[in-house]
Amino acid sequence: MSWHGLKKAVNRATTSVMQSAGAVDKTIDREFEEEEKRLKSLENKTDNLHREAKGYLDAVRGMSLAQQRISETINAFYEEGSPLGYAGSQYKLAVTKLDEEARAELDTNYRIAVLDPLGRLAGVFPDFNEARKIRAKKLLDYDRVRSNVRKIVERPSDDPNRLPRAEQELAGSKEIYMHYNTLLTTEIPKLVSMRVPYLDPCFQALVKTQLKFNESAHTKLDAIRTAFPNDGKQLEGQVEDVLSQMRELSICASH
Amino acid sequence: MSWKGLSKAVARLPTRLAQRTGYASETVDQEFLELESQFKRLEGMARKFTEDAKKFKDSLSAMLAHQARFAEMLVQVYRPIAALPNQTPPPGMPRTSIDALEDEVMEEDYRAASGAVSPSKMKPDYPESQAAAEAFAEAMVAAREQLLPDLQVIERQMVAPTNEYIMLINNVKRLLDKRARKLVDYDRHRDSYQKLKNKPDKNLSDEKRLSSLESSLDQATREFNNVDNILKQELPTFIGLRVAFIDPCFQTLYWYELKVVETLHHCFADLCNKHFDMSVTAAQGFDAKYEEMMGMLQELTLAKKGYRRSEYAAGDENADGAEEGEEQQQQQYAASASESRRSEDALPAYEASALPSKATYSATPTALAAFRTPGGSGSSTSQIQPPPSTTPRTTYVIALYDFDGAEEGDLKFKKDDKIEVLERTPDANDWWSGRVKGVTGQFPGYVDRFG
Repeated sequence: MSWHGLKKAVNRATTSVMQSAGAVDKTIDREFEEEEKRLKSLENKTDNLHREAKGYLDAVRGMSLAQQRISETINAFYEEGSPLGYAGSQYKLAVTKLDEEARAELDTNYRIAVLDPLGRLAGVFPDFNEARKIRAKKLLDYDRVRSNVRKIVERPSDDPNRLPRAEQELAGSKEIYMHYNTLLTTEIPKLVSMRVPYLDPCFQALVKTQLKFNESAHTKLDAIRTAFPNDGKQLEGQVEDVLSQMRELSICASH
Repeated sequence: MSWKGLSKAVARLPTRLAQRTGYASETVDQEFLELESQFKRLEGMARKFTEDAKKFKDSLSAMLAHQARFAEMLVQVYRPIAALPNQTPPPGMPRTSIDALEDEVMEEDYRAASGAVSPSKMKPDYPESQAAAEAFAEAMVAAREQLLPDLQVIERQMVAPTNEYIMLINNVKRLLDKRARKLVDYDRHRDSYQKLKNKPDKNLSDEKRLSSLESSLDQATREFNNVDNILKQELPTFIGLRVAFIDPCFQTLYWYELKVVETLHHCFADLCNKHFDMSVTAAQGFDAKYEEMMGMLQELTLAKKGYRRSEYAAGDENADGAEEGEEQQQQQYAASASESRRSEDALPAYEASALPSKATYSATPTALAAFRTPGGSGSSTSQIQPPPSTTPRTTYVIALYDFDGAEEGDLKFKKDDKIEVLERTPDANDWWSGRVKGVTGQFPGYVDRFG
C-alpha cells in the first residue's frame, strides 16, 4: 500500500469508528441505499442466471457425449446376428449425428447468444461495485471534512484562515462525492431498466435453440423406432431376469 | 491376508519368478486363454457402459434441473427487481456496511419509499416478456416433474443393473485369479515331482518324498481342475448372456430417451408458438438484436471504463498490485470527473489547502499527466505509477468460462484463466491466438473479458 493510500485508509477508518461512536455525523442516503440494494439484487440474480445457463450447456454436452459412448459400447456388445444389432447401429448413427449437430449448432448458438451476453452483463457489476466502493470512501472523506468544519465553527480558531480553508476543502470533497453519487444514482436505474430488453433476445435464442435441439433429437430417434421390437412396455423386469440367471452360475458366487 | 493365504503366496513366489524368467515351465491352455481374453473384453465394455450410463443419467437430470432453475431465475430477473426478498449473497462477497444491513429492512424501506421515487427511476414494465418467462418457468418445472419418473426408470433399469453386472464380473474375476493361483500350484508340484522322479539314483528318503510329492501334485491337480472346469463350463454362458443383458438396457435407454426428447420438444414448441415469433431462427433473432444489446452496455458509463481500458491500457493492470490498481482507478475517475465537469480550476483549490487530504487530490493532475506520458513523473506520483513500459505491452484477457477446445490446436483453459493474447482480430466473434500456461493455441474471442 502506498503512503497516500495508507493515510487515506487510516483517516477513513478513524472516521467510520467515530461515526459509530456518534462523534461524527453519518450521511444517510435512503435513495442511494435503495439503488444499491437493487444493484446487489440484480447482481445476484444475473450471476445465478449465468451459472445455470452454463450448467445447462455442460449437462447437454455431457449427455451427448455419454450417449455417444454408450452407443459405441452397445455395438461392441452385439455380434453379427444379434437381434438388436441393427437397432444398435442405427442408434449409433443417430446419436453421432446428434452429437455433431449439438456441437455445431447448439453449442455455438448457445455460447454466442446466451453465455456471452450473460457473461458481459455479469461483467458489468464489478465495475459498478468498484464505483460503489469509491463512493463510500468519498462519503467518509466528506463526512469527516464536514464535521471538521462544524468543529471550527463551534470553537473558532485563532487562525483566521482555518475556516475558509476547511470550507474550501468541504466544497471540494462534496463535489467529488456528489460526482460518484450522481454517477451511481443515474447509472444503476439505467442498468436495472435495461435488463429485460437486454436479456430478452438471449432468452428467445435460448428457448429456440433448445427447441431446435430437442426437435432434432426427437426426429432422429423417432425415425429409428421401427428397428426396435416392442414399444418399451415389456422391459420391466427383463434385465433382472438376466441378472438372476447370471447369479445362478457358480462362477458368479462371491468367492 | 490370512496366515494361510500368506504362506501360500510365499510358497508360490519362487515358481512365479522362475516362470516369468522362463526357467520353469508354465502350463498354457490355448482354449482357456481365448475365453479369458473374451472375458477381459467384456469386462472393459461393461465398465465403460456402467460409467457412461451413470453419466448419461446424471447429465440428463442436471440438464432438467438447470433448465428449471434458469427459468425460475429469469422470472426473478424479469420481475421488478426490488419487489423480491433477496437471495443469500454468495460466500466470498466483500461485506461492506451496506451488506450488513438487513435485507428485510431494506425491502421494507424500498416499498415504503417507492411511492416517492422520481419518475426517472420507475422501471418500465415488460408484461409480455415477463409472461413468456413465467410460462417458460412453468413449462420447465412441469417437464421436469413429468420426466422425473422416467429418470427413475432409467436408473432402475439401466444404471442399477449395470452396477450389479459389474459386481458379478468382479466375482468372476476373483475366480479367474484363483484359477491362476491354482495353476501355479499345479505347475510347482508337477515340476518338483518330475525333477525328483527323473533323478537317476534315488535313495530311500527320496522315494518317500516322491510319494508325498505325488499326493501333493494330485491334490493340486484336483483343485486346479475343479476351478478350471467350472470356468470352462460357465464362462461361455456368462459371456453369452451379455447380449441378453444389454438388450433390455439398450431398449430402456432408447425408449426413455425418446420420451424425454419428445416431451421437451412438445414443451418447447408449445412455448415458442405461444410467445415467440418463429419465423426467425435463434441466430437470426439474436443477430438482429445484437447491436442494440451492445449499445445498451455501451450506454453504461461505469462499465465503459472497463471496455475502454482494454483498448489502451490492458497491460497496466498486470504490472501493478491490486492496491495500486485501485488508486489508479480512482485517479481515472477523478480525471474523468474533472474533464467532464470542465472544472480544472477546482483542482488547484485542493492543492492550496494544507489539510491532510491535500496529497491525494493534488496528485491527481500530476498522476494523470504521468499516466499519459510514461517516464515523466514527479516524486508524488512515483509510488502509484505503473512502471513505464519500454517493451511492447502484452495484452491479457480473462476467460469468462471453460473452453476445452473443439479441435487440435485449440487453446484449452478454465474460467478465470489469464490468457496472453498473441494475435487478435477486431471481431470478437473470430478466433484469436493466445497462450495460457505456456501452451499456445486458438480460442474464440468471445469467451473472454479484458482486464
